[in-house]
Amino acid sequence: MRARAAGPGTAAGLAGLAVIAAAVLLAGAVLPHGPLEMDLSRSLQPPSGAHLFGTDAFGRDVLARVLHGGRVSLAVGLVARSIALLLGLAAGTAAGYFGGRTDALVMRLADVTFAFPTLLLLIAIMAVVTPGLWALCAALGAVGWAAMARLVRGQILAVREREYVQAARAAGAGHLRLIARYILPQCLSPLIVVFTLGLGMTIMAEASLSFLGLGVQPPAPSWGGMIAAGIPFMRTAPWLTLFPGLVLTATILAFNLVGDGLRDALDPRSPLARRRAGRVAGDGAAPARAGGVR
Amino acid sequence: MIRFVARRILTIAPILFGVVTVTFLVMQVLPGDPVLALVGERYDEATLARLRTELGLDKPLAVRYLDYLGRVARLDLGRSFVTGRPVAESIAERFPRTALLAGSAMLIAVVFGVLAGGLASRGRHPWTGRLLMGITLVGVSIPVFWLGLLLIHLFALRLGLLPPSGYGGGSLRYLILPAVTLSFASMASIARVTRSGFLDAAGEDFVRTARAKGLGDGTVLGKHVLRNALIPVVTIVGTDFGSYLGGSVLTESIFGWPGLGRLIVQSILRRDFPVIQGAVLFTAALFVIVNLAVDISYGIIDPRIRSAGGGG
Amino acid sequence: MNGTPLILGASLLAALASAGCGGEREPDALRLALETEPSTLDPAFAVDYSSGLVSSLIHGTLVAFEPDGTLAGQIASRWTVSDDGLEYVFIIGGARFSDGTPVTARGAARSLMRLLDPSTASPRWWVLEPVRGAASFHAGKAPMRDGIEAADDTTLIIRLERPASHLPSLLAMPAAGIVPAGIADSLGRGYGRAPVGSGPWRLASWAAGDEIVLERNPFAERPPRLERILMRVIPEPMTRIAEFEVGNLDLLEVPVAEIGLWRSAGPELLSGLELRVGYIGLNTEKAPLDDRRVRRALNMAVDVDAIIEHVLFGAARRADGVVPPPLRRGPPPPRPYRFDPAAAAALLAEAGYPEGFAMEIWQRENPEAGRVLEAVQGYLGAVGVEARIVTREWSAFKEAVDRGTPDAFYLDWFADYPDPENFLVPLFHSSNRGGGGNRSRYADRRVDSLLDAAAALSDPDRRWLLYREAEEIVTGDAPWIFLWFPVRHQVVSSRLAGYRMPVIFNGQRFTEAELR
Repeated sequence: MRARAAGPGTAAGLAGLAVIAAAVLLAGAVLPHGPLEMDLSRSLQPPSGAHLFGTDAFGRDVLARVLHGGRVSLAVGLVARSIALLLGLAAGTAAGYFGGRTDALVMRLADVTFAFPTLLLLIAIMAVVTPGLWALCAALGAVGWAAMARLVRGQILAVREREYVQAARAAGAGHLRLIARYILPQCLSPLIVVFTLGLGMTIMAEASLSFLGLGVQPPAPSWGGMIAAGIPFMRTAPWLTLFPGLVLTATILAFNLVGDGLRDALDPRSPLARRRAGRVAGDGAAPARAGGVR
Repeated sequence: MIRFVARRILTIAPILFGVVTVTFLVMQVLPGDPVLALVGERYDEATLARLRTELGLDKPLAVRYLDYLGRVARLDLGRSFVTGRPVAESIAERFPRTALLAGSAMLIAVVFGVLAGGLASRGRHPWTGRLLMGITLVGVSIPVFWLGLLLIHLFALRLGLLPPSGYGGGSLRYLILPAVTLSFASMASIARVTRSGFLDAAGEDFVRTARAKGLGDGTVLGKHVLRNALIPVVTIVGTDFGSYLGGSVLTESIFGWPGLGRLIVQSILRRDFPVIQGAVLFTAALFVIVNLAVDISYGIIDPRIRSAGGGG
Repeated sequence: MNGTPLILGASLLAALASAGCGGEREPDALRLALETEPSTLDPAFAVDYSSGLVSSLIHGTLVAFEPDGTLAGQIASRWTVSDDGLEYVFIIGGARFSDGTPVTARGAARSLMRLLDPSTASPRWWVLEPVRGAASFHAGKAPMRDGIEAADDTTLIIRLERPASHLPSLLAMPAAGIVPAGIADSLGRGYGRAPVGSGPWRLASWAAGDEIVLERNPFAERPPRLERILMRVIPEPMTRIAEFEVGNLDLLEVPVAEIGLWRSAGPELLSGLELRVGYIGLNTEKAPLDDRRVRRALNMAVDVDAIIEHVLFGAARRADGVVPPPLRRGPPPPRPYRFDPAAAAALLAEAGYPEGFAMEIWQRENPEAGRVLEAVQGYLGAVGVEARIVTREWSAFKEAVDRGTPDAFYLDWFADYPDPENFLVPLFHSSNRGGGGNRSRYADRRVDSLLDAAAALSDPDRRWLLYREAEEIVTGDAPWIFLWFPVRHQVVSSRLAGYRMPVIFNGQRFTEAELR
C-alpha cells in the first residue's frame, strides 16, 4: 500500500535516458561529421542547418562532439559507480557479516573517507596513478565506496539473524553461499537506488574535475570537459557551453528522476522506519557527501 | 542517551587520527616537491636543499609523522611553508566566511526545500509544490560552475541587481548569488524527503488517531507530521552542512569568495603541506562534530529513537 | 493564499537588490583584479607573478623600469659604470621608507646583503650572482668583502666578479627591492605581511584571500596622484570580466577568446607585444627527440600561423627565434621553418622514423593551453607522430619537467627584465639545464661560449651580434617547437587616465594614473 507507483517524473526520466542513450550510441552511424573532423575555415559558426549545435574553434561539429562526449561521460559514470559498488559491496558485506573487529575497522575507514574532503582525495588519486580514463574512474569510484559499504552493512545486519538465514546456516551452508544466496538479494533494491542516484552525481563530479583541468583529456572530451573548454567563449560563442550543458543537465536530471522513482517504488518502508531500523542496527545508511565537488 | 552520546564521542578520536594519517600519507605520494613552489622559475639545487632543511623536509618520514602527531596533539598546526603564517590563524580568518556561506546556503535549502516538499505532499497547492520540486531537481542537475556563471551573467550583468562576486565584508547583497548556487546541492533532496515524510507520517497510526480525535489539520500538521518528517531533513542537513563547512571550492572560485575551500585548493596547488594538513583536519573535525550533533538531535526530535538508540 | 510564499520570496529579493545598488564607487581609488593572491610581499621571497607585482609597488629599487622597459633611477638618482665594466657607483639621496626614515647607501647595502645572506635562504639570491664574492658568500664558504659597499650615506658601490652589462636590469627586479633590513630581520617571515618600502605605495590592509588595499606612501619622492589602489583576488576569468562590465574594475586583461568582442565594441583596446615566448620544449636527451632531424621535422609539421589565427585569434606574433622583437637590435631573423608536412615526413623517414613515433606532450591545466595542444596534436598526427596530451596541475607538472621526465611540454617564458640575456642564458645555457630554466636540457659548447662572451661586453650592439649568432644556432638545433610571442590585450575603464600598458610587469607603478 505504501509503495507508490512510478509517477510521471520517473517515466519522463526513463524516456529521457532512452533518448540520450540511443542518440549517443547511434551518433557515429547517423551524423555526417565526425567529432574530431577539423575544418578551420568553419570555425566558431553558430548553430545552422549544416551544424545544428554550431562548430567550435577548430570547426568541429559540436553536435557530433556532444554525442561522442556522452559516451565518455556515461562510461565514466557507469564504470566509476561500478567500482564504488564492488568496493562498497565487499567492504560492507565483510563488515556486516563478520562483525566485530572487521566491522569496526571498515566502518572507521568509511568514517574517515566521509570526513575527508572529496576534492583532495580526487586530486591525490589523479596525481598518483597514470592519468587517463581508468584513473578517473578509479578516483571517482574510490570516493564513493563508503556510502555503499554503509548501506550494505546496514541491510546485512537487518537480515543476518532472520530465521531463514539461521536455518541455512544450521544446514551447513558456507559463508560465501550464505552471503550470495540469502543475504545479498535482500540488499538489491536499495543498492539499485543508490547506484542510479549516484550515477548523476558521478557524472557531475567528473564535470567539476574537468573544470579544474583534471578531467578527461582532449581530443575526446566528456561533456564536462566541453563545458569547461567552452567557458571562455560564453559571450562570444555561447553554443559551445549551452548544448553540452543542457544535455549534461538533462542526463543528470533523468538519472535523478529515475532514482527517486525507483526509491519510491522499491523501498518497502518509510524514511522514518528506515531511520529507526538503522539506529537499532547501529548506523544509519547516511547519504554521500553533497554533490562531491561543489 | 548519555551512554550513546559518550560512545559516539569516543569514535571521534580514531576518525581524526585516521584523517591525519591519510592526509600525511597522501602528501608524501603526491608528485610535486613543496620547495619547488617556493623558488619560482629559476633556481639552483643548493637553494632547494637549504629550503628543504629549513622546512624540515629532509628528516625521515617516520620522524616527521611523529613530530606532526605530537604537535597536533598539542593543538599546534604549524606554519605555512609559503607564507610562514600560523596555519591556525589562516583557518580562523577563512572559517567565518565559509560558515556564513554554508549557513545561508543551508537556510535557503531548508526553507525552499521544506516548502516545496510540503506543498507537493498535500492539500491545496500540489502543483505549485511539484513545480518547485521540479526546479530544485533541475538546480541540483546543473554543473555548479556553469550555474554560477549563468547566475552572474543574468543577475549581475544583464539585470544589474546584484554584485557579480566578492565577499563584500559579509554584506547580504554579496551573499545571495553564491548562497543560492550552493543551496541547490541540498534543496532537491530536502524537498524529496520532506514530501515523503509528510506522506508517510500522514498514513501513520498516531496521526490517524489524532485526526479521529477531531484535531484540526493545523494541529496535526504542526504537532505530529512535521516532527516526523523533520528527521530525514535533519539527516541531510547534517551531512551537507558538515561538508559545506569544509569549503565549497567551485562556488568560492566562481564568486571570488575567500573561504576555506579556496585556501585548501590553493595550498594543494602550492604543496603547502602544513596548511593542507591543518585545514583538512579542521574540516574533518567539523564534519564529524556536526554529524554527532545530528545524531543527538534525533533523540530530541523524537524520543522514541532515544529508547531504541540506547539499545544499539 | 495561493502563491503567497512565491510572492513573498520575490519581493524580498527585489527589496534586497534595490537596497544595495550603487554606492561603493571609491572616488579616489584605482580598482584592480589579481588572479591569485600574493604569497608574500617580502622581495626576497616574492617569486610568483602577483607577489612580485604588488611587492614592486611597495618597495623601491635602486633603478626601475619605465612602462616602455627603459631603466630610470628610482632610489638611486644616477649611476656610473667603470670602463672595465666591473664597478658600478649608485648615488642615493632623497628616498624615504613609508615610515619616514631615509634610505641611505648603507641601508641599501644591508638590504642587498640580506638577499644574499645564506641564512635568509632567498630563492632569488641569484639576482646578485654577478657581484664579486656573492656566490661563495651565499654558499657559506667565505665572508663578503668588497662586492657591495657603502662609501658614505649617499654612495653605494657594487663590484662585479666579471663584467655583466645587465646588472642594472637585475637590480630593477622585485627581488632587489630595498627593505629596511633592521625591520625585516626583526619580523622574519612576518615581514612578508608587514612590508615597509620606499616605493610609491604602502600596504594599508590585507584581507586574506580577498582584497589588498594600498595607499599613497606619503614619503614617496614621486607621490602617486591617486589616494589608493584596491586589488581584489578574483580567480575566475569570466568573473573578472563581469566585474569590469558592471564598472567595478578599472583595468582588465582581455582573454584571447574575447578580443574580437572588445575590438568591435566598448572602450579602447590596448595591445602590445609581451616580453614572453610560448614554446613546446623538446627533451633533447630523450630518444627520438635527441635527434636534431626529428626536432626540425616537428617544427615543419606544425602550422603555427594557423594556430595563431584560429586558437589565439591573432593575439600573437609567430616566433622565428627566441628573443621577442622589442629586444632585438636589427631586423628579425629569416624564418627558420616553413609549414611543410611532406618535408617533415621525409625528414622523419631520413631519421629512421618513416612510420612516425609516439610521444607525450605535457601541459599544466589551462583551457587555452588545451586548445593549443589539441591543434598541435592534430598537425603532428598528420605526419605520423602520435602525441598524447598529459595534463597535470602546476606543481606536478613543474617537478616532472624540471627533472626531464616528459618527452615534450608546453610552456612560456616571461622576461624578468627586458634583455636578450634573460631569454638566451636561462633557456639555453647548459649550466641552466633543468630548474635553471633550460628545460629542454639543451647543451651546445658554441652557444655556451657565445653567451659567456656576450655577458662580458658592455656595448649593446656588439653584445647583440653574439646573441644573434647563439640564437641562430639554437633555432637550427630546434630544442623547441618554436611557437609565438603573445600579444597582450587590456581595456581600461572610461574613468581611468594616465595608464600605459607596460612591456614588463613591474614597469607600471600607477603613479601617473588618474580618475576622471
